[in-house]
Amino acid sequence: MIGKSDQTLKRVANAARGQRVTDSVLILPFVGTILFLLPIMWPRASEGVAAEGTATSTALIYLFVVWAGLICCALGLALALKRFGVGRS
Amino acid sequence: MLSLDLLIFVSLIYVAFLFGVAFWAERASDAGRGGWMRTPLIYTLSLSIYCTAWTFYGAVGFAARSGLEFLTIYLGPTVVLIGWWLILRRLVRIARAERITSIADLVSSRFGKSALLGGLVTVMVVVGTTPYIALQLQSVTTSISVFAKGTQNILSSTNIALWTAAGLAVFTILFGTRNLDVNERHSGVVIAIAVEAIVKLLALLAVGVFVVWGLAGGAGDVLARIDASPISQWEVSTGRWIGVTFLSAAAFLCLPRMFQVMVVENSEESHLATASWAFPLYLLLMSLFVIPIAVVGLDILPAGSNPDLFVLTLPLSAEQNGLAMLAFLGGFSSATSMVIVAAIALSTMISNHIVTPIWLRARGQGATISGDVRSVVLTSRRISIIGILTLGYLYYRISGGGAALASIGLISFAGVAQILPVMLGGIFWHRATKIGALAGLICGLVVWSYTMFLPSFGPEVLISQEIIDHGLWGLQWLRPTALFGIEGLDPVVHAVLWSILLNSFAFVAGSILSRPSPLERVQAVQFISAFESGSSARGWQRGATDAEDLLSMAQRIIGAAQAQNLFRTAAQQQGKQGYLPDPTPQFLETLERGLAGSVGAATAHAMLGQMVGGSSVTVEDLMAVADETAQIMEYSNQLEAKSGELTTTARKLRDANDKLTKLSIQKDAFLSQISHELRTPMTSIRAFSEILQNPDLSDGDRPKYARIIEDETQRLTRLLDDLLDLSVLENGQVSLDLRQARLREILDRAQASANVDAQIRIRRSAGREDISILTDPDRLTQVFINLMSNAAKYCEAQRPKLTVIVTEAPAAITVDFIDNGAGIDHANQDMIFEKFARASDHSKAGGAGLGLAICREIITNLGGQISYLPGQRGAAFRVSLPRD
Repeated sequence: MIGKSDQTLKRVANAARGQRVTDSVLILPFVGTILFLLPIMWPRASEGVAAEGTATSTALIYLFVVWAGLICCALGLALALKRFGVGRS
Repeated sequence: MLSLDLLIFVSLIYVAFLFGVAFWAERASDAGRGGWMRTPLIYTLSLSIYCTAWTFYGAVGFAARSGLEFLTIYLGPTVVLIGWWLILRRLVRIARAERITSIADLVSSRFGKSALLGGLVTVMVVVGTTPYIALQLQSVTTSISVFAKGTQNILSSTNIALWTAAGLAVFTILFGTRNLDVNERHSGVVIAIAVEAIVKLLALLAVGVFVVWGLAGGAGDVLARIDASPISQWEVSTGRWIGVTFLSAAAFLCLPRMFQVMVVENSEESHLATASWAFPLYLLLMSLFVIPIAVVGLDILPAGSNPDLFVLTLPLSAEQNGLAMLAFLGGFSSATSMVIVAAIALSTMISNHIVTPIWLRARGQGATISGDVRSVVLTSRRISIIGILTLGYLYYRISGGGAALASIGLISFAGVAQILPVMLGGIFWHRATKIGALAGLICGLVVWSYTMFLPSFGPEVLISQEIIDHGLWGLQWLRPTALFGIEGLDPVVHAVLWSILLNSFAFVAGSILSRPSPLERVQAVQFISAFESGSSARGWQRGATDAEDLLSMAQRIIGAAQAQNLFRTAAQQQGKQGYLPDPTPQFLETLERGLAGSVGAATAHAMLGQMVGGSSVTVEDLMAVADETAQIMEYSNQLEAKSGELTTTARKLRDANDKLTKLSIQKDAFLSQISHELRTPMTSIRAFSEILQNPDLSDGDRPKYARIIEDETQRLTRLLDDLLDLSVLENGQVSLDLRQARLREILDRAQASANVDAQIRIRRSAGREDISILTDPDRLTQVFINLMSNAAKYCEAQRPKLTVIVTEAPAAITVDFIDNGAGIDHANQDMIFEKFARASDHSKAGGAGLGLAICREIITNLGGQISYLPGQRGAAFRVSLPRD
């Protein structure tokens, strides 16, 4: 009896986690878009607002770090989806 | 310097290797050993055709000119793939369920399998892709020309382009049109592309590593060089950063070659999950060394060097011939893989959405009679491939391979991005209609051509300087670079903004203003609820068609072996032996989808429609059904009306029957009454006659009895006279003697004849009676006598009195006879005018009770009426007579 209810609990927990994963999968592209669009608000030397503009090297590092971070998240979510058996056709 | 001959030799070996790989992959796949080809890794690598020679060489040039802006081309697709759950998964699910073969097929199928939409999308992508193919040819020739510098060679650049195009055409035809697969998947091509993907990635990484750690002094040094370079500052325009990112994301979804590898060639949905991180990683690696290469190239190479070729010229300048060779092969791979897939995708669209529909229409009943559709489809695809490459080559020759081509990448992106609103609307919005889709696509195509495509050829080529400066028809707000007077925008941002905005607006407005056809509604449900169930409601009915005919048609389209396989499987599922399943709706649906994989949804639907004899539910069928229903309802209404009539008639008959029954009762009553009335005097006549015969009778009694007999005889005669009179009056046979008469004279005569002055006092008002009327004076006198006699007979007052009042009204003259007696009971008022009716006992009456009945008949015949006037404190009768 205990074994059975344990299994049910596990299934429910799995479904809840699966829901959490699919929600995250849906949100990720929006997070990515915002992060990728952030640099447009950085100061530019030509505008003369800030004393110094933003250096290309800084922007380069920021963009690649964000990019790599998104890839890691996507990887994690893909593995999680597989584990919870969500999205299988 | 690397010798050109060696370069060409190595290239040929590389090409032969690719042929070998593709051939081997096809063999393995045919033999059923192709499982490993359907792995997420291969799928991800095949997506790399997004990175063409334009990105392989051009990204470095782009970076050298505009800094980090080149990244937008990669960021868009990254976001799309990371968001695969939202759009790509849906596209793949729909494409599998509906056997979608291309993006044109997707749009056509969604909007009611419209051949028109399929054709339009095909034309759009051909227009958008041809310059892109020219760009690939150009990059191959330019890269070769780098090696050819300073050497004399028979190979001119146009020759190289021609040979490249020809080689690609051969490869594509060999592996892209070997057979007609129901899923439109090409194992050989996919594997060859995966190999090329690895080659180009390795080449770029190798060059990058060499540049960073060979030419420069490692990562730190590169960062320092970036800060010292002309692109050291973050100077990206906001509009372009957003605009180009959006554009690349849109193009990534809509480019026909991307749709081909990403959606059509996808064999399992789970591959998308892997690609969602693996492909962004691939893009990241592809762009990782772009800025370092650009910066180092700008630093080391002599001023004025073409930055588009840094990937090649940097290794060459350092005498790294092997690396340069690898870089060349990388660029070559990028160019060829793109051209191959684009040509396959475009040829599929051209044959499915342009050639086959036209061919079928030209042949009328073509699909059902004869001819090998399969060979027609394959031939048209092969010719299309040659045509597409020829177009690309011609475009390259005509445009002269100049700098103008460099901007073609984004123009091409913007062109195919016009499909995006319709595609997304099609998979998310129920209410999207074919009219809306047509409006949106045409609007987008026109705006894109006007603001971007036509001006890209330069002034005075396709669009005059006059129009560019002053707008179409001299309207300033129609200038192609400043629509609606909005100036100062980047040309690309301007064109993309307006074309996509107007496109979406036309699409939405058109959809809202038009009504979807039934088939469109069905398809909309199929597309939008792709995740809900696999069931279909397309409605093939069990037709009169023969499975054998279907098999022979299917063999001609998808090939004998595949068709037989499909039919045998279906037959087995139905529990039948052999190759001929019952043409059930389910089977017809499966077959349609199978055929759709080869000739497109619209054509497959039309062909099956011809075979099954239109047993698919068409709008016309629905109309016919509606008509029939309307007729049935009409008929039912008629029946109802008739039934109503019958009910009315029945009621009338019942009434008539009631009346007849009443009349019969009246008749019986009359007969019994009359017998009684005749019998009473007859009895007394007989009795007194017998007494008279008695000889003992005294002489004094004899005349007394004789008088009684005479009285009774008179009474009998009067009764018979009255009866005769009444009968004549009732039958309308009476002849009236109409003439002008004075009412007073008639009343005088009646009073004299009635001779009742002794019993009752009659009061008249002589002044009012002086009226002349048209009537029968004798008959009217008879009525008045009767009324006066009645009053005299029945009035039981102490001093009986009868008042006669004459009233003159415009329409009638009324004569009221009112006595001062007890009057008549309310219950008896209705029947006093009936025959033999008496309100009181018989003895007093002395008549047969026919008087008032006769009065009523006379007055009726004279056109007036007689009625009892209640509420006069005595019996009151009113005679109304018409005035002339």
